[in-house]
Amino acid sequence: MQNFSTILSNYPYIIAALMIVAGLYILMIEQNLIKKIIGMNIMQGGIIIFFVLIGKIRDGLPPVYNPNNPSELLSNPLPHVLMLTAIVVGIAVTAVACSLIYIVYRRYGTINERELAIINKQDDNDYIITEWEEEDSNGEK
Amino acid sequence: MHALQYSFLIPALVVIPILVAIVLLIVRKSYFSWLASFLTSLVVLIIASVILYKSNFTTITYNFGNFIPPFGIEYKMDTLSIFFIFLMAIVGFITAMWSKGNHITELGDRNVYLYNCVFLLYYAGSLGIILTNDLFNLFVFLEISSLASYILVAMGKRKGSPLAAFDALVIGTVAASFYLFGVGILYMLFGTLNSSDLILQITKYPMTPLLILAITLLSVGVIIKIAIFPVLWWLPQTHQSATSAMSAFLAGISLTIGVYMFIKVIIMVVARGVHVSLDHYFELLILISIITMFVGGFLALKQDSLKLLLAFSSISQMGAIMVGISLFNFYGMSAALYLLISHAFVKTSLFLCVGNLIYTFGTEKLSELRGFGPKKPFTFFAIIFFSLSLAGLPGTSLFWGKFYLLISAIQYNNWFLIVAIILGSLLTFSYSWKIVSHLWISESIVSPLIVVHKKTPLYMNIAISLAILLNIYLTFFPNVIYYFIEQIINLNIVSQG
Repeated sequence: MQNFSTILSNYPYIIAALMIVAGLYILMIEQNLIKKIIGMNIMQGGIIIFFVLIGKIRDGLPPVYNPNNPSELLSNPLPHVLMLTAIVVGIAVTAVACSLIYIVYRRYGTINERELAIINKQDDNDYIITEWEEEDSNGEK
Repeated sequence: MHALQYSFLIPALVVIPILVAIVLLIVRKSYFSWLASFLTSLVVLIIASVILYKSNFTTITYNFGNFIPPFGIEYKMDTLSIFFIFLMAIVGFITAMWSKGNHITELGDRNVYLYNCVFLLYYAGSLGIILTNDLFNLFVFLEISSLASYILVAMGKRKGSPLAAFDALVIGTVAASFYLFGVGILYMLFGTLNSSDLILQITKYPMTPLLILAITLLSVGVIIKIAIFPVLWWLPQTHQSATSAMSAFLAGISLTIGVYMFIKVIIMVVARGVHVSLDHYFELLILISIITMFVGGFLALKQDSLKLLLAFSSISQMGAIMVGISLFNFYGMSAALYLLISHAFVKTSLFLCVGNLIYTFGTEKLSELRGFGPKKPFTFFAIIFFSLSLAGLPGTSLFWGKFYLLISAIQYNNWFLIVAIILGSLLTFSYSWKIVSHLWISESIVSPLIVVHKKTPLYMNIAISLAILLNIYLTFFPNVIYYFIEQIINLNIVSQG
């Protein structure tokens, strides 16, 4: 029973774990490439929440040094700072992924994974010599 | 381990490629960008040599902003890092030199500066992974290099290039997230991100379930990057879809960096620190590595496209390398490192040769290239030389790696392992022979090959000649590399044998 209450009192970790698992599930199950990206972002969000939780100390105050009371219990700011970087990295990944999806849509006319696989099987996927210039003018569907 | 006068050279290795990349983005000239990326790899090679000469196999470190190591970000250059930086610099040098002609046929003049810019970012990211001693910093560099590699793959001329890049992106991001999660748990347990500090902290604490979770997450993240058995499908597509210069660089670097991460994070930090024996963990790893070796080998046998064949062969070789590392003894580790370096050179060179073929004939399909030998004697000779090297014939560089691996398996005293390694080598031989037999022995095909460009430019051939010389050197003087490897294992990894 005591274990159960320990688990319950740490419920934020459970939320983080659920987000990671849910994101991974969406990423594996969904056929739509955009939805895959959304799943990936949920997963990253779970990890970011997990990191933020590490820095939290129970009854800890925001990590601002108070000269009047130097012995105050402060939260650990480092994981939060790390997560700023991780968020930026996540945005960069999402941006690249979205632009890739855009090119895929222009070339194939679909972003459904199953349909893409069928198209890929039909084409013999040989070298296309379309220049980027040509694609700019003709690639619109 | 003290900061020396020339220790500012360590971050310069990472900073120079990034700065040059920014300059390329402003200048936007094809020829200039090619020259810049070529010279940058040369500069990296020179700086690495200077550091090796000055430090003389001791470890030197650089602290960013003069923060003391456990608190600030620390760059550390030990023998292991120097080993990998040399490998990267040489592979980058040869590939960059070769890539000019390839840009004309496979990129289009407009994109050359972009290619070189992203290439340098990839280069910087990989160098950062090698140099940093901070686990979170490693994650950031991992994402920089992977993002650059997705963009470079998407620049390829196939219809499916962006799709292949997208698949790699999804799987790569999952791998990086797993790695980050593992690092988070380690930070939660030990309160440090500096890997030298982490070893000390891990040895102080007993094994807990959370630590096991952390090890699992880190291993899964890194293993996806090496393309070990369950998650290997993203790799061949990327190698096939990228332009030839990029596939050559990817073949030499991307998996090698994955193995470096495995050694740095799993072997050097976790396995050195924990109190419980990790025998079962390593046994499982050996098992999936052997499966990888066979899956990669058999799939390589089936391929018609040369690039796909070589990519699957990379997977198979990574299996063999991971067997060596998982044995976790002196011979296994040295065999793995030897295989790693010789495989990186041979595979890069083979991709360059395939690039030569694409330059000349516009195809890389084995069935279309049958009996091309007389038309391209130099490329033909190079391909046969490297295929036989890949097969590990006695008298080629990969032979020594395979030989050491077999010795370590015999020391491990496991018959299953010995048989598996011998069968794996035979498999390697059979797909290498497939290349040789198709290009050399087979009859010429009915429809003649279309020659797109009659002559390959001189610098392409010079790059391949350099690669051949390097391989011959490695073949006849394995002692140089072996001395290096001994230094690495004695300094960094606890020797058990």
